[in-house]
Amino acid sequence: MVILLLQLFGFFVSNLPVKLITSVITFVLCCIVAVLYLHRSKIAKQGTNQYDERDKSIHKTAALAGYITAFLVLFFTILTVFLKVGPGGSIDIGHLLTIFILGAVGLFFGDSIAVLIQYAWGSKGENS
Amino acid sequence: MKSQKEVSWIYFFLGLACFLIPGGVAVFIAYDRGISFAPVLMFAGIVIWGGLFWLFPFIEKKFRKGRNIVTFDERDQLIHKKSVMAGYVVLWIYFVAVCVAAWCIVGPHGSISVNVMPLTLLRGSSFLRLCRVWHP
Repeated sequence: MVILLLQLFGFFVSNLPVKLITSVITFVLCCIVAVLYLHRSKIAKQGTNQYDERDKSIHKTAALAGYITAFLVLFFTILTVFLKVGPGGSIDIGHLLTIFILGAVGLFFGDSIAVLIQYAWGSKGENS
Repeated sequence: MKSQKEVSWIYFFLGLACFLIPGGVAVFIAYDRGISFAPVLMFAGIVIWGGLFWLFPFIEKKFRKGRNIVTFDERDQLIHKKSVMAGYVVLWIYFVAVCVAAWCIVGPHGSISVNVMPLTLLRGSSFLRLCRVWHP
C-alpha cells in the first residue's frame, strides 16, 4: 500500500529531485518486499517444526490467489487505460511501470488476504 | 495417462485458436472503427476466459459434490494447481520482460501505443495455456 501511495505521489509531483527520491524509496521498498517473499519461500521449501504440510498447502493456494489477483488487476488496468486513451492513442512509458507496480501490489495483497482467510477458516474450533 | 495428455493438447490448440483469433480481431476492430461495446466486450470476455478458465474443474467439482462420480481427484487437483501456478509465473515474467524491453526500445521519455498492452495480455494468456499443457 505504501509503495502504491508513493508511486501515485510521484505522478502528481513535478519537482524532479522529489520524483527521483520517491522512485528510489519505491525501488528500495520493492526490493525489501521481494527479499521477504523469497525468504518465506525458502523456509517453505526447507520445512521446520513450525511449518508443516498444512502451512505449505495454505501458502501454495495463497500464492495462486495472489497471481489471480495480479492477473485481474493487470486486466482491469489495461482495459481502463485502453478505454480512456482510445485505440489510436499512446501512453507515456512511465505508466507501464505503474501498471507493473499495481500488478505486484495485487499479487502481495491477494497472497496475504488468502493466507489470512485460510488460517481463519483452519482455526475454527481450535482452542489454542 | 497418454490419452489425457492428448486431450490436453487438443484443448490447448482449440483454446488458443478460440481466444487468440477473436482477441486479435477485437483489438483490430477497435483500432480500425473506434471503440464500441462489441470489441471491448469480446476482448474482456476472451482474456477473462483465457486467464480463469482453469477454475472450471474446481467449480464443477463443487456442484458434483453430492454425486458419487469422481472425475477430478486430489492428485488431479495438485497437478492442475501446479500447472496453473507455472503458467501464471511465466505470464508474470513475460509481462515484466515486455515492460523492460519497451523501456529499452523507446527510452525513459518515450511513449508506446495503447494497443501494445491488450495484445501483450492476450499473448501472456496464451503462454499461460502453453505452460498448463507442458507442465508434468
